[in-house]
Amino acid sequence: MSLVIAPCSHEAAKYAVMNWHYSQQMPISKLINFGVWEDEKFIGAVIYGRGASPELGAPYGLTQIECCELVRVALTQHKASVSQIVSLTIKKLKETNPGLRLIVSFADPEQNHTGTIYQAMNWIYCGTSATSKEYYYKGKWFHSRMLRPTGFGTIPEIARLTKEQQKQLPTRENRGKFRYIYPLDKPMRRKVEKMRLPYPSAVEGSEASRNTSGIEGQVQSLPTALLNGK
Amino acid sequence: MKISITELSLDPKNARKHSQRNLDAIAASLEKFGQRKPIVVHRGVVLAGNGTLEAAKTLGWTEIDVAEVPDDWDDETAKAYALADNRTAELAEWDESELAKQLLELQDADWDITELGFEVPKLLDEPNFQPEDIEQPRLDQRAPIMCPQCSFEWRVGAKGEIEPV
Repeated sequence: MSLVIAPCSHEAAKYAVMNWHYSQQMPISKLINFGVWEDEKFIGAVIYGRGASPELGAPYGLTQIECCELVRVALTQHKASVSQIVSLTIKKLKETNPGLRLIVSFADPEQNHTGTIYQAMNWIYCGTSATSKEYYYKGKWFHSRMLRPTGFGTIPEIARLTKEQQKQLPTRENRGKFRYIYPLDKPMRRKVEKMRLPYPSAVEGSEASRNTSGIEGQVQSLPTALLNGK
Repeated sequence: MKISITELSLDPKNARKHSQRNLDAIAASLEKFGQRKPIVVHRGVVLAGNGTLEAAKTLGWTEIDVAEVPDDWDDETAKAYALADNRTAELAEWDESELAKQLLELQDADWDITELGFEVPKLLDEPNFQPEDIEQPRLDQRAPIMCPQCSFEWRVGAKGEIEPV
């Protein structure tokens, strides 16, 4: 089996995200898109970016240009392991961006993701990100940033609602996402190794507790393929 | 028969769990199509349709259509029915090719198929993108700045130093 990691077009990366990533949402910041080919067939993309926050590297004493975020791993059926694929993209990233010292990535417990890829690659787990507020609109939950008039992730249809209308929407608090970091050089590894916490378990991932207001009933977050078309 | 949602309780022993995504899809379906089949209850406990009840609550519904199983069913019969109801649906399989075809037809007719709980269908003939010989942006560099007077270009480095471009 041949495995090739190489730059790919934005169109290819977007196709992978829209078809093979749960979010079906392409980040809009400056991105580095690596395509993945097995036996000459395009099987997805691994995407790095600056992330949603300019303070991404601040907890580690890094500026915005020393730190990046692994924002999407969007793969269809593959033979190589995800950790092998991501490792190869990191190698390429280091070659083309020698000034980077750390990669940050997040696993979303709402999707029952605990970060098993990162655990397999010995990334450092350093707790959860800040909690976020979500709003329920037309059958879906949206992050609060999507309600802002402008900026990353804005959904115009919701952003156009008046403040009063937005206040009427059901809300819930989400526990933060699991945060993993991967140092790219030895001094950085020595520096951040002390931040390492025990890896979260699958149980913690499925018990993403939150407070829901405006809607009744307990909302669960456990896996099922029902209605998923798979 | 419609009854108040407050008279119903979810089956605490339901072996079938509903993800948020699943509940969102059910809620979207209820919103779009209404409730077209009743949930099945036994002495006020939902045997089949726990997800539908949860989704209806998120939509703020106060009443829901129910069908009651015979009152003389014992707990074991009710349990067996609840498991069988989930399992029989689970044993069915999709004809992937027909499914993709129909989803694409709906998408062409401006239906949001993600609201139906489906992902954007894989095209029957997926494009095989090729590696590109393109210059990727640099994440370890800030955008260059040009002096409007002398056209000198520089960027600010990681430690705030000035780097000529």
